[in-house]
Amino acid sequence: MNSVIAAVSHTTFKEVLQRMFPKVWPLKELSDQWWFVLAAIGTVAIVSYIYRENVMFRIAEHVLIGVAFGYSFTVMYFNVGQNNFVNPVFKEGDLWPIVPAVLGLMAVLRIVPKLSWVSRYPMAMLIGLSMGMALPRSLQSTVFAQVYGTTRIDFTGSISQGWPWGVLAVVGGAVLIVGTLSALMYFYFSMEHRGFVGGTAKVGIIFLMIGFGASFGYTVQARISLFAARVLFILRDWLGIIT
Amino acid sequence: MLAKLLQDSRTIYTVILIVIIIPFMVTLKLPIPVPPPVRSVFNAVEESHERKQPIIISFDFDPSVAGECAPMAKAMVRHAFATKTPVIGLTFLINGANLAQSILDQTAKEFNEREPGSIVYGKDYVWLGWKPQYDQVLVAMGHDIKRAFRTDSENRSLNDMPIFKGVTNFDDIGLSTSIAGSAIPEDWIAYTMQYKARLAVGTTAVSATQYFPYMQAGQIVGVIPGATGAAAYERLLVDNKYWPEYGDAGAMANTQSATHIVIILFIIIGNVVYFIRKSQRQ
Repeated sequence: MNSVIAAVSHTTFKEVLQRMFPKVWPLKELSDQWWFVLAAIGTVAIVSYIYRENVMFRIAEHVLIGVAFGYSFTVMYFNVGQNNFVNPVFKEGDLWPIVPAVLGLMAVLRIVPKLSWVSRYPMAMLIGLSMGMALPRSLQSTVFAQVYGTTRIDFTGSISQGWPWGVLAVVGGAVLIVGTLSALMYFYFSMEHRGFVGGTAKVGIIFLMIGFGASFGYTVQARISLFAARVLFILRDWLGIIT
Repeated sequence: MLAKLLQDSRTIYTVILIVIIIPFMVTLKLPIPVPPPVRSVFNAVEESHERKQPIIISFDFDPSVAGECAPMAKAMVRHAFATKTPVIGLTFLINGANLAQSILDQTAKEFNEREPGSIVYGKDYVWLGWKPQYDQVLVAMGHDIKRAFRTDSENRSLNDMPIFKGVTNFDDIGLSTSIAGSAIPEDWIAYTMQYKARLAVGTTAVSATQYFPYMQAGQIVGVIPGATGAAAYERLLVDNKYWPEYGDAGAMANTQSATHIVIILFIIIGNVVYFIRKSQRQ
């Protein structure tokens, strides 16, 4: 819901509409206040869902979906279609962009039942390329580098930073090693969780719970921040109650 | 009646709304600590300035998380402009394209109003716009940034811009920063870690815990976690006299603290009531 609240951003609306209708609708001449009012009404309409679902919320929700689609299409055309295809091919005479354009059209043929098989070729190419690029790099960054990071904790270097961050870094390093090993033990199912293995797994559960708690705390902080930003917008930018 | 009121979730929403509004009204200044991950990002921008290398800021967020990500993006752009560190801006999230561009343009306008002509497009900053399939774009940028994008978002050739003088790929960049509310920074880490450019992440508080392990492993130099991280960055700007006042994140800092205290109280009260009822049932 926060995404809906914040997406009713006056800047985005204004710039997209200006770009789509530069001659028909000279929006640059309109005062910013109108956009503040529009954005504020959108925010209040979406937040009203907290009380109960109502017509204003539904209208704002549908407006958002429509605007998001129109906005995406516009950005897609100007940033990709125009800059990467129309201008190079028709203005500069560079014919190479025709190749990816044809592949793109082949992908779109998926919506034609009799020709949908054509879309498999560009999709196969895309998936193959992405897999080939992602696999070694993801392994490197999320597995090997992480294992290396867990084994090279600089205790002496950290302690030299002094109180509080240096000492906390040392404690954090020790916690990291114990936490990683015990949490891994919890997910090791080839041995019965009894004795030493069971005890270590229980320690792992504690670490997992602390991790979930930290994530929850950050989640609360994030949601409050998003809501506070909209309240700040209404109080300062729209109503002018605070400076 | 009172019990019914307390059990209604709308009561909690009302209390939260009041607690959010009041700190905006009072001039209470709670301390804003600067954690090392945020200071590291700040230092990395300073070092890029000393090396005379541009920084890349990838505005990988959309309006849904602008409340958290926009203040940190704005703080970083202000820092870069104040130190005359060139900024190459881009986004991999389509719905954030204009939002990001407006942050760059408005910040440039702020600086030019203070000192006319101090920030010049093409020399001090550039907006490359949005590109789809960001994994492939990152690989292409690793070879040649100018070939990966060819033009800026307004179809101006990158070859003619002074900001790209001496810049080929990530090896010539002082710092790459992905500010996102999604997992896009993970791809930045995966695809750029073999280059000399250091990488930093600005993220929503929800995603913050996801990126600290990368910092611990030395894959990124720092993390700006949520609005509190942005407030810490704003404090560094104020302390170093790069900008005279706090931005939106600083304005929200008191609200954050007050709301967190109330939520902690709610959790404590909820648990106390739970245990009282449990003992009564027994």
